[in-house]
Amino acid sequence: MTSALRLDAIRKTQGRRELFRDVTLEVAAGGSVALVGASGVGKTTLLRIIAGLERPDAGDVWIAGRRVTQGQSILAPPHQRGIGFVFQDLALWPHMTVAQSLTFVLESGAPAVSRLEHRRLVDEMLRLVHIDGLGDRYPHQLSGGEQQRAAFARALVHRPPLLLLDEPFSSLDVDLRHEMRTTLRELRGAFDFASVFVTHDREEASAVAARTIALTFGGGLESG
Amino acid sequence: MITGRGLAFALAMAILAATCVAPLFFLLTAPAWVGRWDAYRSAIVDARQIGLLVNSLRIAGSVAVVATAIGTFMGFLLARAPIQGRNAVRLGLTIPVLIPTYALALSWIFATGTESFAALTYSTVGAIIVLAIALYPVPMLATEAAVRHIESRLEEAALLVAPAPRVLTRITLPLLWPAIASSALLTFVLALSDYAVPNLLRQRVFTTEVFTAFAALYDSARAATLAVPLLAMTLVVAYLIVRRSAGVVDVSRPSSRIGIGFPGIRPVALTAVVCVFGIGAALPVGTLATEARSLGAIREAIARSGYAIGESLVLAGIAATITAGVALVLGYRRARSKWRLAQWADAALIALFAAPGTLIGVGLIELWNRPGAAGLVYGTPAIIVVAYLARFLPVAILIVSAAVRRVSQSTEEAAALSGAGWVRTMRHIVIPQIAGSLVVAWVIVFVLAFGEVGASVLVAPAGHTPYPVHVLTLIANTRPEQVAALALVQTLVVVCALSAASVYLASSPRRHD
Repeated sequence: MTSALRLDAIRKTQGRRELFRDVTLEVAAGGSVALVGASGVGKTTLLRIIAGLERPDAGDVWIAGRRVTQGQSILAPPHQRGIGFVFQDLALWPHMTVAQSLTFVLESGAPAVSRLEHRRLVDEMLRLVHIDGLGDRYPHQLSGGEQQRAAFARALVHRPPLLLLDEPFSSLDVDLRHEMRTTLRELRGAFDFASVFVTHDREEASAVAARTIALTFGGGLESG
Repeated sequence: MITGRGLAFALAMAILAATCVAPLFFLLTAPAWVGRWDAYRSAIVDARQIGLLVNSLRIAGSVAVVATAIGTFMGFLLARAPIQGRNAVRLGLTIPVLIPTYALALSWIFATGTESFAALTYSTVGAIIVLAIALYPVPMLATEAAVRHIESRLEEAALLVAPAPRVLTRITLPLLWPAIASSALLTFVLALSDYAVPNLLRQRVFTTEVFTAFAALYDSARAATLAVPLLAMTLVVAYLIVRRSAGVVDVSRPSSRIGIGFPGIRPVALTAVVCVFGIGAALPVGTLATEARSLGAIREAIARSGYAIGESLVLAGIAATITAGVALVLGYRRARSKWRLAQWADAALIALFAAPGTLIGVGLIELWNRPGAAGLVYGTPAIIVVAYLARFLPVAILIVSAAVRRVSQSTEEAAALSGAGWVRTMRHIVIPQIAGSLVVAWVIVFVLAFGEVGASVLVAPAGHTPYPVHVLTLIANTRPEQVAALALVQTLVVVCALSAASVYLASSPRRHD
């Protein structure tokens, strides 16, 4: 079976400092991995390399059986990788309502599909993340939890087979964090996507992923 | 009990009121003082007035469109294209806004003075081109700053689902829109308030009419009539600028990453930089240098007008120093104000900055040309300093208040908790953090004051003519090479001052703001 994600000997330096080397990882379709490690170890950088937002110094990235990064060459740009990404600061577009953001994502990926179908998909997604009825709100009109849900909706509305999450719950209180973990499990059940979840909290890692892997300073990955 | 803070604020407000607000108040109420109420009616219904309004709007609107188109493109390139020596390139591209507009207009007259361009020289198109060259750096700098402040993750989130061109049009440009719109509006009012270019290129607009009404006809009621629509327009536009600036882009901190990069557009960027720098800075300066013909002409110009240059530099320096002090107090107060209507204060400051120099000049005469203490100031070079304050104090306050807003209030609270009073906190905590912006405010006021014409042409006392006014008065009866040499000297002084300030700011180890 083709894996959702494969990393082969990824190496990255920042200035003179080697962030990590020989990072090798495989995530099966529908599988989930939590990536833990101390601050500054390069967890976010690794996610950005997977997404194609940064180039590694060496190594290959494979997504759904297709090589998308080879050494320092980006073979497939980010939007052709079939990835959803939940950023740590959410990065919701401030000039678009939630529905407009989701529509933008759908129109970018499938411009030929009718507006009616896009609207149906947007409504369905908003319902799944429990913010139906808030589609016409701008990000600043949403609470912290609602913004989180909007970010999940945007990342998944185009049904990507791989979801990358960069410490998305770090700014939430304990109750909201539990709620969002439940939502994440529900979404995984609905869409069956593979996921890589970056966190520095081991307890959270075991709650959101089947497998925990630790990234160490200047080294590679170790099973956690 | 009178505190140091209260005293400083009262003094600064008094200076703002006496130099910026009161002159315009006196100008606007001048017809009422002499019972000419009909003047106000004619401000709205007079056909001549409407024609003037249309012509002024046409020129200012066209300038705003052209300058914003050029400036936005160049600002985006400065922020995102791989340009080597970016700071030097930015400085070079900013030169046109610092060259006095009369010098740009003169270089235009010299450059198009041949038969094949004769129809263009004294035309509306000519005025639009010259003012667009003078003002494109405003939207350029605003766009560059706005692009740098776009949080890169907003673009990256879009890059995951869409190609770069679509991200540019649907994410980046909408985020930039408030900054672009604000700078376009600012460009519009600055074009509307310019006096030197329409005067030299023989265009009938509000500012030239105000000058004619007062200086030639001594008709202050007519000047007030002309002022009403002009000031109303600047106030409305200033409010729109403030509203737009409070838009969706968070300008409080630059993005930690670059966002969408365009490595492939290096050749386009280089071509654009060379063209815009060539047309905006090299061509005008080159034209003036060619027209001056020799170093001898420049030496002669300096010898003949050295006193005017020296006095203008001193007066501009005094004005810039007073302005920096007053702006520090008022800018701080504005930045820390939680008053709900404070936005109107910003709008009023922008409107005061955009008020045409000729209007301010007439207002200053109405206010200060009277017996008593005011008369003592009016007949001396001090009135020129007052004119510079009237014109440029508002922009300095805006610069300082923007800088103070970036200073964390908790740093002041920590000082207050340790027992420091307001003066001590300002001296040891706030000023060190905004020193760069204070220097910028000083340099901008100095450069603008050194090139100021609109107000000083009306108020300058006999024997103390500021340098640019001196050049303007020589145009009619002096050889072209002499005039070109004089304009060139002024341009070089401005460019040298700016370069020195840039070097200082770039080398300063304390770059907190």
